[in-house]
Amino acid sequence: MTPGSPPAAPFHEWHALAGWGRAVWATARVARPRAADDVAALLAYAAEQRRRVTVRGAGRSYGDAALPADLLVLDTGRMRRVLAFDRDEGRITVEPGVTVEQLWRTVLPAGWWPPVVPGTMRPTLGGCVALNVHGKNQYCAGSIGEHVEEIEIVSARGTRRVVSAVRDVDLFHAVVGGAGLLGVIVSVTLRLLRITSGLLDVCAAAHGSLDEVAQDLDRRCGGSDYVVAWIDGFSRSGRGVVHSARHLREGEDASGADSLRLDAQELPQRLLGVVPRDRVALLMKPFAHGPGMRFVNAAKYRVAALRGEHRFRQSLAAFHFLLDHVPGWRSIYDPGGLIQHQSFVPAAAAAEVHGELLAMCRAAGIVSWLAVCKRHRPDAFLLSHGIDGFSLALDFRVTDANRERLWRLCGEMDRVVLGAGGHFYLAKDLTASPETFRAAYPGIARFREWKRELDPGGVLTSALAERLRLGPAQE
Amino acid sequence: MDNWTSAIVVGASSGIGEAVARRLAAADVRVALLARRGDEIERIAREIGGERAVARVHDVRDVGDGAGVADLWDDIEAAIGTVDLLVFAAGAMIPVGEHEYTFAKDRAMLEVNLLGAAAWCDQAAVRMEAARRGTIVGISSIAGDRGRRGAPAYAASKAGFTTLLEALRNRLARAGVNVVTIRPGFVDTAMTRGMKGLFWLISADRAAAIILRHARTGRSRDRHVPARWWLVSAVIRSIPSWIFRKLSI
Repeated sequence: MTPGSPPAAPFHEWHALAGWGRAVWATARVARPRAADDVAALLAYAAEQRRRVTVRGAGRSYGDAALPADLLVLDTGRMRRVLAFDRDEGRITVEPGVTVEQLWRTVLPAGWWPPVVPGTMRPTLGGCVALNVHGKNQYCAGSIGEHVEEIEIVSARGTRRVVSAVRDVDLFHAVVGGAGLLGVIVSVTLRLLRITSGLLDVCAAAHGSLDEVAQDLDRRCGGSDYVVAWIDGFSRSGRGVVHSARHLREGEDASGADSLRLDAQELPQRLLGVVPRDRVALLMKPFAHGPGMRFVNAAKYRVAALRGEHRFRQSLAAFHFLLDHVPGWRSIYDPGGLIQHQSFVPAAAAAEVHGELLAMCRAAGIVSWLAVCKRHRPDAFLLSHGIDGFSLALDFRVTDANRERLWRLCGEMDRVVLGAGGHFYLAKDLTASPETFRAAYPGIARFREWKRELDPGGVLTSALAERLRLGPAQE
Repeated sequence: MDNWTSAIVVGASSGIGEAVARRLAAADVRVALLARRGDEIERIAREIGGERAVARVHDVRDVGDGAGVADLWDDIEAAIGTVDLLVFAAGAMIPVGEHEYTFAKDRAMLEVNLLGAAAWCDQAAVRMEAARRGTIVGISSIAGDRGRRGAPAYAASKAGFTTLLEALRNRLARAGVNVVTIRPGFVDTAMTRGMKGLFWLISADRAAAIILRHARTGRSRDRHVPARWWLVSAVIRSIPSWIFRKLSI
C-alpha cells in the first residue's frame, strides 16, 4: 500500500494457493496480520461475512491442510517476532510465523537447538505445532508438542486464551496437532535442547533388505539421538541406507563453540563437492521418469553399499534439513506435483506391512521416487500420528494419467495400514477418506467436542477439514 | 482443443462481444453476458434463449477494488456453473481533438480498457490457476502497437492490456490455462462506424468466428484478426520514431 491510499479491505490479497506438493490448488483471499489483535479482528470480519477461514503458515503441508475451503486464508507469516528468549533456561516464546530456520538461527549461538525439527527449516512454528510435527528423533523425543510449554490461541469467537501443557492438559492435547481448527495459534513457548557443539556424529550403513533396514534402524535407536532410513522403492528387496546421528558431548568437538556459529551451519553450496546446489534440480530433470528414478535410487544404494558403514561429522543444519539442500527439487515433479503417503504402523507388523505397501506400489506401476522410514513412539495428542512403530513416507509423482489410479492405490494402502492398527499424518495427507480417518483416530470424538465448544459455527476450517469432515456438526 | 462449458463475455451488448456470445451459445456453451446497457444484453440473452444465457448489468468502469467482480463471478457461477472461459471484449474509444488533453476522457478509456480488463483477468486468472484449466481471451488492438498522436490514452490502454495478457500467458502456461491476445483490425462495429479510410473491414460475426477458432486450439497465443493485419502491424512497428511522428497515421 502506498502512503495516502485508503486502507485495504480485510483479506484483500488474491492468490492461487497450492499445498506444498502442488498436486492440489485453491483460490484464496489472503490476510496477513501482524499481531494477535489483528487476528481477532479478521476472524470477526469473517464471521460477519458468514465465511469460514483457513489458517496458513509457510504452506509447507504437502496436502490440503493449509488450503482454504471457503476462500479466506489467514496467513500468519508476518507474525514473526521472537517475544522472549531465556538463554539460561533454554525457553523461547515466538509468534506463529517464526520459521524453524529463524528459530534455530536465534538459539544456536547461545548453545541451544530446537528439540524437534522437521526435514525442512521453512515451516513456521505455528504450522509445526498445529500439525504436531516430528523429526528424526520422534522415537526418543516425541513430536514437537511434547516440548511446548504453552501456546496462546485466538478462538473463533475472537477471545485470546493461554493453553498450558500442564494446567490445560485436555485442551492442550486437542489444539496441538489440531490442524488449526480449534483456534489460531498466536504464540508458542518452547523448551529448547542444550547442545555444546553444532556438529553431529553421523553413521551411515547400507542394508540389502527391508528387514535388515528395519532391524538396524531399531537397534540404532538405542544409542543415537536421530535415526532415519532411506529405502529404494524400486527394489523388490526393500534395500536401503540407515543414517543415525548423535549430538557431540562436551569435549568431543575440538572446534568447541566455533561450530555453534551460524556460518558453520550454512548448507553446502555444492552437492558432493561438485554440483552447485541451485543446479541440482535442473540436472535431475532428465531423470524425472520411472526408469530414471530407478537408476538414481539404485545408484544411491550402490554408492552407500560400496562405501560400507562409515562415520562422519555433519553440521546440525546439513543433517536435519535434507529437503533444503536442493532448491527447487519439487520441479522434478512438474507439472502435476507430488503427494506423500506416510503411514505409521505398529512395530510388530511394520516390516511386513511396509513391504506389502512397497509391493502394492510396484504392482500398480506407481513407484515412489523417494521412500523414507523412521521409528516412532506414541503420545497423548488427540489427532496424533505417534505410534510405537515405524513410519514409511512415500513420495509419488502426480500426473493427469495416474491421478485416479494413484488415489485408488493410496486408498488401498490406507486399508492395509488400518488393518494393522496404523495411523496417518495430517501434514502430509491428501487422499484419506473420512471413514479411514475416523477409524484411525478414536480421539476424533473428543476433538469434535472441543470444536463444538470453541468454534460452534465452524469458522475455522480447511480443505483438509472439509475432506475429512472435521467440522463441529459433521460426523 | 478446449471444450468450454460456461463463459463470461464482458462487453457483450454489441460488436465483437455480442458476436462471440452468440457463437458460444450456438456451440452449446452457457454464456453470461455483461454490459452497461441492461436492455441490450437482456434482449440478446432472450434471443439466444433458454438457459444458455444470463445477462448481468455491469459497468466496467466501476470495478473498485475488484471485490465486486469476485461477487459477480460467484453470482454468475451460481447461475451457469464453473466458468472456464472469459472473453474481455469491453472497450472504450473516445475521440480526442488534435490539441486536446482531457484527463477525464483518458481516464475513462484507461478505466475500461486497462483497469477493468485487469480486474476481470485477475479474477479469471486466480480461479483458473487453481482449477488448472481455463481460457482467457482479451480483445486488445493493433492500436497498442505504437503511440499514435491521434489517440494517446487509447493506444496506451491497449498496449497495457496486450502486455498484461502476455504476462498472464507466461504466468499461467504452467497451470494449463490459455491466454489468448486478439488484435483485431478494422471490424464493422459501433466503434468504427463513421470512421474514414477503413479497409479490410470484416463483420463482427466473422471476427468472432476467427477469435474462437484461435481460442479453441487450446494453445496460448497472440493473433491478429484477420491474420493479414500482422503484416500491417509489423510494418508500423518497424517505422523509426523520427519518421513515425511525421506521418499522419
